[in-house]
Amino acid sequence: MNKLRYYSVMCLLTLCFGSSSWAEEEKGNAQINREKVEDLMEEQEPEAYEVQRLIKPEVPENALLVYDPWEPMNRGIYNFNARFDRAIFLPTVRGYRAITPDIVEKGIANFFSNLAEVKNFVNNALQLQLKSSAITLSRFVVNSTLGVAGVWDPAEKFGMYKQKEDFGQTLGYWGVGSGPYLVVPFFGPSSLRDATGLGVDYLVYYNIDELDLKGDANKDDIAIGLALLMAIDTRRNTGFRYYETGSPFEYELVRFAHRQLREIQIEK
Amino acid sequence: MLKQLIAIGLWVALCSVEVFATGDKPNGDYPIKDRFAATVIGTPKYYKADLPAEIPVKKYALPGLHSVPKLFWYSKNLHFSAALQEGRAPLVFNIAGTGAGYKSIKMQALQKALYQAGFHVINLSSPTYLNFLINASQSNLPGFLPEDAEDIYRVMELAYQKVEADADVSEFHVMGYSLGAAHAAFVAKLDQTRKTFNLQKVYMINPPVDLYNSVSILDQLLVDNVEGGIEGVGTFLDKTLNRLAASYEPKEGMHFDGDFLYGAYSSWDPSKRGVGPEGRNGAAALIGTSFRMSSANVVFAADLMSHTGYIIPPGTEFGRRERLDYYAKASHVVKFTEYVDHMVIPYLQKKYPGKSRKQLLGEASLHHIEDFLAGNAQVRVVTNRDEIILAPGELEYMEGLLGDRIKVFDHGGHCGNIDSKENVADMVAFLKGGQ
Repeated sequence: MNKLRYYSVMCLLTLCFGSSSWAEEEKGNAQINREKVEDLMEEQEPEAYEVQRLIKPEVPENALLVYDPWEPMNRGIYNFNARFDRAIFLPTVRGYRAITPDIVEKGIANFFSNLAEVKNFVNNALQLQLKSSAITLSRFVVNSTLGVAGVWDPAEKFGMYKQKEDFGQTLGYWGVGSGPYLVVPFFGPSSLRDATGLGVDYLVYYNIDELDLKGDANKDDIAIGLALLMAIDTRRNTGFRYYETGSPFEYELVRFAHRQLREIQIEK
Repeated sequence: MLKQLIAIGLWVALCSVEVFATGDKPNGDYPIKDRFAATVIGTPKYYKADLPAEIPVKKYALPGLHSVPKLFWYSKNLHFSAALQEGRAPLVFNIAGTGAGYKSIKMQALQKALYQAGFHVINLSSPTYLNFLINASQSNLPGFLPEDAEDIYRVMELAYQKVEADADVSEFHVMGYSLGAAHAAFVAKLDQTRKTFNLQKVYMINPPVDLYNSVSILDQLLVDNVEGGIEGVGTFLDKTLNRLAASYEPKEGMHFDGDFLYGAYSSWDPSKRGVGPEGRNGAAALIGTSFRMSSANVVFAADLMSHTGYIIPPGTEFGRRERLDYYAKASHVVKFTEYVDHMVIPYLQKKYPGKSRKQLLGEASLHHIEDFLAGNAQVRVVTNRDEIILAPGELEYMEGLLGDRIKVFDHGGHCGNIDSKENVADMVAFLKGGQ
């Protein structure tokens, strides 16, 4: 579990980083309209029956408002992610793109996407989506063999499209509300439910051990190397850039758009 | 994100469009006949100009004019981009439209088209774009064309200094779309006295004539087409997205972009297309919403930077993790015309005592520089017969003023056809002409 431990330590570090060391300089003195701000905050305060709220999808009166009781921490992490993105993540992705031929990049993207089919299959099955599960299974078989360990995606040419599902969606499908909005270090916008799902999906991935690393002497090194490559590949495939919307309200916009997107994904 | 948000919202346009492009045999003419839908959807793939997937573009930073508040920590320095040719070539300064940055989709398309045609291209954000407003607007209150032009001119000079060593320039041109087109004209006028660049050609895509008229029209779109006005935007977007969710079939590689929308639009059952929710035009509602969002950004940033105290009490200091819900809400309530009347005009009247509101608004219109426009053979305007930001009579006014130097396409709404084959060909032919 070295990698997981490593990751947890990084998360904890970030949380401390996000919530303490910047706290002083980040404390504003926007006092005068406090009352109105507090009114708005109250609308989002946790209700007495918090559990109810977590298991029932809430319908806020103002559709633009998203339940975000941990906003100061989330904003800290959002800013941390933006800085990390600029200083380390994007330069790394640029370097990766510069030294790697496009066709290899595509192959790597396909490879990781193929690994994720197990997660897709498990979650499609958990949602009793028989057709999607069958498609996912066929994709995995075809691409792992004909597609040489998933480097190519011949299944798509046969009309079998990826049926993306994750455990957060599975929980949503069975009626679990999203819970509070949560910005996850390095990952970005999520929710309590979806971040939990992320953890569950990871545990499944770890225990199934598709690449059969457990017997390997260098398994930790390989696992960390793969995780880093996967992170770079994911960033390469993600168009979003922090703070380029030109809106001072980007945090709110992203929060709203993210929730809408998740709701749509769950409905499907 | 704003764009994605809008893109996913666009779905509603599909069922609110009254006129429909029939048949799937493209005949070269821009196909979307509804001006609001055209504005929202843009140019479908088949009608787009052939542009390179990637061109060598470099991003540059210029030091800002003001100290940047903590809240805007992410927007220090003014950014712009340049695509430079190897050899000697003319350089085009390209100015973005309202609320758009140098990297917006439209700006990138124009940069590619010009680079492909052999020009050096410098892309500049609109003075109404957050990064420009914070760092390069002297007053931090953009929207008054003569002062915007001064700001842009200063940026052009600094930007050129940055790239001078790498660009062998034969001559300079300026262009822009929407608000950026009006800016281009004012910049060219300013260049006649400053003479730094000796600008040769001015190309204006879908310009406003009287800025105040245009923003009034755009303000009104939200009022008329979103039930409940700004208060109803949340519900409107929610409904729109749910409608989308109902018809969205996830497929790998499918994106919420113009082509996806156009595909859906073309296959939409005409009998269901008639009228949008509550008989309102969904595409118009989206344009109004998106304009209000741009305007809210300007209101908040301008207020914070200029200490006007319109929605932010003077002396308020925001931390980096400040909660902005209230200010976001307050900023979205303000119409752009109200921003002009309550923030820009008072600032100008203080600066130029004795000038009336009417006088000042008059100076922010093409009427004010009509002699320059009429007498200059190197000014060209391209717009559409169904343009949405022109008040009655304004198109005829431009036609009268410019004669054969205005090209009017039948369809495209506001900048919907900006990267169509015909429009790009017109732009390149004009800028290359007489070389």
